[in-house]
Amino acid sequence: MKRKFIFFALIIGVGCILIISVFRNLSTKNTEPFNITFIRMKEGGQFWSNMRNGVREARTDTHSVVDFYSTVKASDVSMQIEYIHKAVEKGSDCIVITPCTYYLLKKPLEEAEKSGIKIISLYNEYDRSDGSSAIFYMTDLHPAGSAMADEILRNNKFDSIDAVIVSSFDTMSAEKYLAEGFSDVFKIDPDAKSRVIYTGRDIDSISNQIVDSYLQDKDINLIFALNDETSEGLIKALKIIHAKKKILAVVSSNSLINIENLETGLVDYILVINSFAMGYQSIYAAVDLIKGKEVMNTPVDFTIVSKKNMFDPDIQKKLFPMP
Amino acid sequence: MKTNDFSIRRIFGTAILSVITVITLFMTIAVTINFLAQARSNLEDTTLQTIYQLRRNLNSYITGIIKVGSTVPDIISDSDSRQQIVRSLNVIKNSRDDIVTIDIFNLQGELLFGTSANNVRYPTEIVRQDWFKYSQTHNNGYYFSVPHVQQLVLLKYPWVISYSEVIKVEDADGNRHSAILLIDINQSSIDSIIESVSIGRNGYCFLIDKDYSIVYHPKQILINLGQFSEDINSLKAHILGKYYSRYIGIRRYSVIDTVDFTGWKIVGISFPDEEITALMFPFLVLISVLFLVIIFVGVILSRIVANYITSPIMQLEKEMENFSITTFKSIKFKHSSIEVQSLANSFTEMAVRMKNLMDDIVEEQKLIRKSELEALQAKINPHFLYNTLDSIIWFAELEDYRNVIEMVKALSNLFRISISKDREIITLEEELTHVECYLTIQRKRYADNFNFLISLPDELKHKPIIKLLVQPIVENSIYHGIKYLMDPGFIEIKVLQDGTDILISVSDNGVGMDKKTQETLLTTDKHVHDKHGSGIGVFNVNKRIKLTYGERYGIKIISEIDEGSTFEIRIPLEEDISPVNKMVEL
Repeated sequence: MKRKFIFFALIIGVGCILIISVFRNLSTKNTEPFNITFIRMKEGGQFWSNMRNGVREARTDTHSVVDFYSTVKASDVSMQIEYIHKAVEKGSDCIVITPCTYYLLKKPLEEAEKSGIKIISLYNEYDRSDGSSAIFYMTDLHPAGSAMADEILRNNKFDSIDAVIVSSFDTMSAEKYLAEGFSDVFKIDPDAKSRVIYTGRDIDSISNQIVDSYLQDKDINLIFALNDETSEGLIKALKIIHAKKKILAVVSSNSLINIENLETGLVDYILVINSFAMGYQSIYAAVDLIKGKEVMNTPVDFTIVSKKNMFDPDIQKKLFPMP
Repeated sequence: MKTNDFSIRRIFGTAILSVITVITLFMTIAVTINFLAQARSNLEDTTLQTIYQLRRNLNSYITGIIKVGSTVPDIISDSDSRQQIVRSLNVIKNSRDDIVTIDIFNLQGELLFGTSANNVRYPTEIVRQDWFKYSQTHNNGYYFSVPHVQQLVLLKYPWVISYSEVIKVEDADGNRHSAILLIDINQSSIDSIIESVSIGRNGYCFLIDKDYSIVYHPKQILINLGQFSEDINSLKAHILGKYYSRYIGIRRYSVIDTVDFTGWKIVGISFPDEEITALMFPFLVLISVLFLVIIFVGVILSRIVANYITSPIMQLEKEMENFSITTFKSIKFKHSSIEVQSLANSFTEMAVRMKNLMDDIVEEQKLIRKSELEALQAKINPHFLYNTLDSIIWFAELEDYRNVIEMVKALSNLFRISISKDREIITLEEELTHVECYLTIQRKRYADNFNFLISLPDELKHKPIIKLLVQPIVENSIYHGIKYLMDPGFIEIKVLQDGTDILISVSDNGVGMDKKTQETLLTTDKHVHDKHGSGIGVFNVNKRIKLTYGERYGIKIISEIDEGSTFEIRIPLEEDISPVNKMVEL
């Protein structure tokens, strides 16, 4: 009788605990905190600020704890490595990183991976080993480059295309894919010329290099700047050049300077990569990864803005950041 | 007991516990269902009340903006100069954080007065804008836009909600003309009214205009950037009121109300499943604890009640199991039901009757045995006395007075021991003295034709024995053993201790007996002995031993034809006793 009583009490107790646990899990499943380290390539600039805002929004929605790290200079590899080590020391569940270079981050990220941390490489890729489980997330900008080129060809007439693509470094896979997508469209025209120049991230230096390129080849009629710095450098260069022939200028990022110059006509197109969505979705991807779910890669959201459509209700939502 | 047999206590305990469990479970389910219904009702009420309150706040705010707009024509008409008008408009603008711009345009899009001083866009750009167009076409003569990037001043891109209205202004000549009043409201002012309002844990409110474009949403940025979408289709299907719907797999409760003057609708969304799930945890903890406590108390209670009811029965059962007629006393319970007490009384009565019956039987058996023993002894004495007296007479006739004297002495001792003051138990020494007297008498009778030897260890001399056990065996040895010998006979009697027994052996060198005769001596009944005329003494002695000491004890016969016989008498070794008789030296 005594044994049956204990068994009966145990059954009821276990049953109650199970029911409570299920409801506890149900009631707290959205508040379970995950520790995510978010390492941005660069501090400042509209593109990176939007990405940070997206991460913040997702942090709130997923109830995650996100540690933000960013280097002042976009090429500061040593700082990024230091941040990775910090994440390992802290025992983060996941590192979401926009690698500042293709090289040099392989080893520290693999060490982080070995210590059980999930890795998401956002926007840009790095030299990942074959056996690595790190995920390249939203790194394929090829479609954005192609769409930009298609838009240009659809709305402009060229006798011949002589395009210069202004990138900062050849170690940036994101810009490389963007440039490739852009160039690939022009390859259908055998007379079209397209080349990429790597100018670094200093505005004045970028501007000078663009001016030099123009002076060397005054037939240049299309310049595509792939990031905030090269865009600003391009605008500065265009003001110096004062070309007699129209140079179609395409800039990237919805920075105020780009918008203003679009409205004044110095710039013809802005390619707005939705970096907010990148940051936002990368945190959801990190949470899924931590939970052991499969992470589906999603295409990069982008918008092509011209002076004509910049105030369209749908475009202005993408172009003008809300306060 | 079979495994499927249940004790009364178990049945009682299980029954009480089952009843408590079922009632508790039923109560728990009922309370839980009621709790869920109440929680849902509360959430619906909360959502409704929140939306009504929010509508009042928004109405108040919108009314305030309209009032600001209504003062502008008065300011224009009351002011003497353009500068005064602009100054007055700036005063209003600067007095409120929520107003970004107050401008008045003519119908061609030219700025007449306003707070936007420089770099106002060309009239052609102004007249294209929604706030300008819709203010003239809107039914009420005014228009509230959705949040948009204002295109008023070059290279300025503020996010605003525009209020525009057609007003009448007088020109310098006193002619009244239509004009468009624009008041740009900082979008954050609307946000601040709504964003502080929450419904439950995850519920929220948002605003839509009459075209279902979102005016405010807590996830506005996400919506703008394509990271979130709202269930507009269900809103289109429900113009006003409240309803349940499912969106992206999540059940939601929506309440729709209208903001005055604007055509906007406030939508309150709450998530009943999430709310109830969150509330259920502490509720279930409480209910589970209560449930466990009730079950625990129920178990204790069931055991107490079951014990109270069944313990007298168990006690009765135990009394019956351990029932002994010799030690039994009446059964009494401290607490018991009438039925159980009645059962106990009946059992007590039955036991008392049985005890009396058993006592009667035992007494009766004792009497029977006593009379049987007395009868056996009576059989011995006359037979022997006759023969002995016959021998004494014979010696007297021969004038052999010495033998007469010896025989008379022996006979005297013999009878003294036989009588033994009515005692049944005598010492071994007395018993063997009795045998010696008997053998002395018999040897005289048989003209010294046999000899005998008796050996008794000192330590066994005072051991008790039933009297007249050995003499019939010796008698048997004489009459059926050595009597038929041509040579002198010999009888040896030895007493020794065998473990916890005493072994008395009577051996003779007589003619012996076959197996059948041996068996007949011990087992055959009285009629057989009467028929053969021998062995009744041995049979009687064996029966007396068994009656007195038990079946383990008795006589064992070892005999061979022409070799002699040995009779082993086995009795238990008991404590020493005092002799009964005073012996006379032979």
